[in-house]
Amino acid sequence: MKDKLHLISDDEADELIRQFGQATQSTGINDQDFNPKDSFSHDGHYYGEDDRQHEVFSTSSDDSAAISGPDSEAGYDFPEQTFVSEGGKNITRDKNGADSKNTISSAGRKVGAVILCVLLMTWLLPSGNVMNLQTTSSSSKDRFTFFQNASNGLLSDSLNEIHRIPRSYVLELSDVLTPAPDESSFTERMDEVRKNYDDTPIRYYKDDSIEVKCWKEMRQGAVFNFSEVWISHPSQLRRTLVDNVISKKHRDFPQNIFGRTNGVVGMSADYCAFRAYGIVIQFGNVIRTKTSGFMDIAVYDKNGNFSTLKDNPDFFESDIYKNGDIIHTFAFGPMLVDNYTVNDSTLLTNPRAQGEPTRHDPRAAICQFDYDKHYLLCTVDAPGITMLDFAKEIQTTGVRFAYNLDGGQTATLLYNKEIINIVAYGGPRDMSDILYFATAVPND
Amino acid sequence: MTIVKRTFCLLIALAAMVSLSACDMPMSIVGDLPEPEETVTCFFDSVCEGDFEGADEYLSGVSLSMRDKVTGVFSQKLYDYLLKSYSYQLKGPVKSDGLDAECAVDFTYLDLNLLNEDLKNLSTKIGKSYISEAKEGYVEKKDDAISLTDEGAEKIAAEALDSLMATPEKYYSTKTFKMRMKYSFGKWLIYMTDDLFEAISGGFETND
Repeated sequence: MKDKLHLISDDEADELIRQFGQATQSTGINDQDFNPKDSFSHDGHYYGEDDRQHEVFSTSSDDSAAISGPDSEAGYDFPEQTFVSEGGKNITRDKNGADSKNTISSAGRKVGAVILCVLLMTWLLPSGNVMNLQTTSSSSKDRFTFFQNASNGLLSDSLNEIHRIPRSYVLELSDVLTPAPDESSFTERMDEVRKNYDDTPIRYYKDDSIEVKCWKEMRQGAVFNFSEVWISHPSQLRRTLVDNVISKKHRDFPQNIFGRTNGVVGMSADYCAFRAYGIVIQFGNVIRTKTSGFMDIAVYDKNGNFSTLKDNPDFFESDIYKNGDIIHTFAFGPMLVDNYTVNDSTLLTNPRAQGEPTRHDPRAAICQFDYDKHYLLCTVDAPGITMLDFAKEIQTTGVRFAYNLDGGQTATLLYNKEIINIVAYGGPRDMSDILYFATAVPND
Repeated sequence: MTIVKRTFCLLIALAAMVSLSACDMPMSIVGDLPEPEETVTCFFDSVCEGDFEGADEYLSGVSLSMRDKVTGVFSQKLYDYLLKSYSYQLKGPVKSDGLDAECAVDFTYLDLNLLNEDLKNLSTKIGKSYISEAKEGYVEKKDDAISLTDEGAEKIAAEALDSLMATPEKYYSTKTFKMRMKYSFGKWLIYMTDDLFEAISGGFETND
């Protein structure tokens, strides 16, 4: 651990020689035998008796007597000397010529090596890591993270679909006027499913809350006018009374009544003012309670589903009435299709039943597909059809429910502010009420 | 001897010790030690009981224990259904040479991949229905429109999951896994494979 002395100055060399000379004198070395100055080389070596190069202040045992100086009894102590080594470092040598700084760093390195070995032994042997011959990549996986990610992925896929469900716009039952439809959305087009009997384009409307298709079919020698409607919320089926009262004095033509609404598609209803009986409920409000005792009353509930109850006092004992679930009722009938099958009631076949069921007359009906907010309006132009045949034709469309409304000259189908069927007897008659479907998309 | 030499000798001795410890030196066997078949059955029994800490005792270098509890209504339900789905069956005898062993096991689990599509469809159907009904607790009304709340959407997904799990077998997968074991420090340890790990976790293919 000694650094070679290198290129010391003459003054430094003289000082070295002086000190060295003092050392040699005290040990009895003859000057004649040895002249350090003559033999001193600039690289810090001297040549001894053996002509071998030796370092100044060598600590080798061979040179110790000649160089390292007198023993302590001689009283000379080499002071601590600092030199510039070959590497440019300052080297301090103690009286024994040993490199004091090197001594400290050497010991430190040894201690560090031992500590490192101990730590290595401690880590390797007891834990058996050396024995763990194979680990799979799953050792780096955490089951919690894996499962939570999987669950979140599953949930996220479902939520993405759910959140794609469009918002459902709602109309307040108390709203007198609903939002106006988008005029540009009234179009005509060829449809893959619904086709006019003359192959002309069908009428079509669609916005975020309602979709309507209107087409005509020829059945049993009569033109059937259909309007298929999808709505997003039950509040979009509206009913309106002229002047909001049931009175024969308060009547108007259907296109006028419809024109005062913002309906997209509509139809004549039960002309409730024509008779003095039949339970009428409009927007949850009971307008008339007098019963006929025989009619089928069509009930439209808050879920947008149609059903029937008899027009008698038991109506007011029904759960659906007591729970306040009824939005509208229609009082004409009979029910044509119930639970996908033709109603076998005599109300469809008795010539004396309401609506002249056995005559060939124009007809009108409101229907529902399943329990969806998916409906069908239907009118039959003159010469018309019997009520039973009407029920059978309606049943072939696949509706779950169909209810007969006032036919004859009353039967009127309305779309985009105009009548789109051929009304009997040359033109529409005035009436007390209509029903219609409105958009719920608010106007900007 | 100089300190340098002593240190060098110490390192040599250390290296020798490490080498010896790495050797597969047969150890003397004392008493009754578990057979590899018992290890496999105990492992899967623990998994089927949901005792993953117990299952870890039979594994080498990996843990099935969950570091946290599963959170969220939907995730908690899903996890419960996953645990209920586990079952296994050994296929044939365990082959062993005393240090290595292997066998095949059929493991059945709730496969989340099979569940995904039906869950999406049913959740959507329920969601549409709740929107049209404006079902309380699931929807909110804003700007004259009704839409599902985030909380409502998650509840819907959980309800859809409950409905599908009425017939859970449809969503179960059974796969054969090759189990490899090593005899180490007096017992047999199973090497967990990626596919078994994923099956225990439901097998859902994520983008990880």
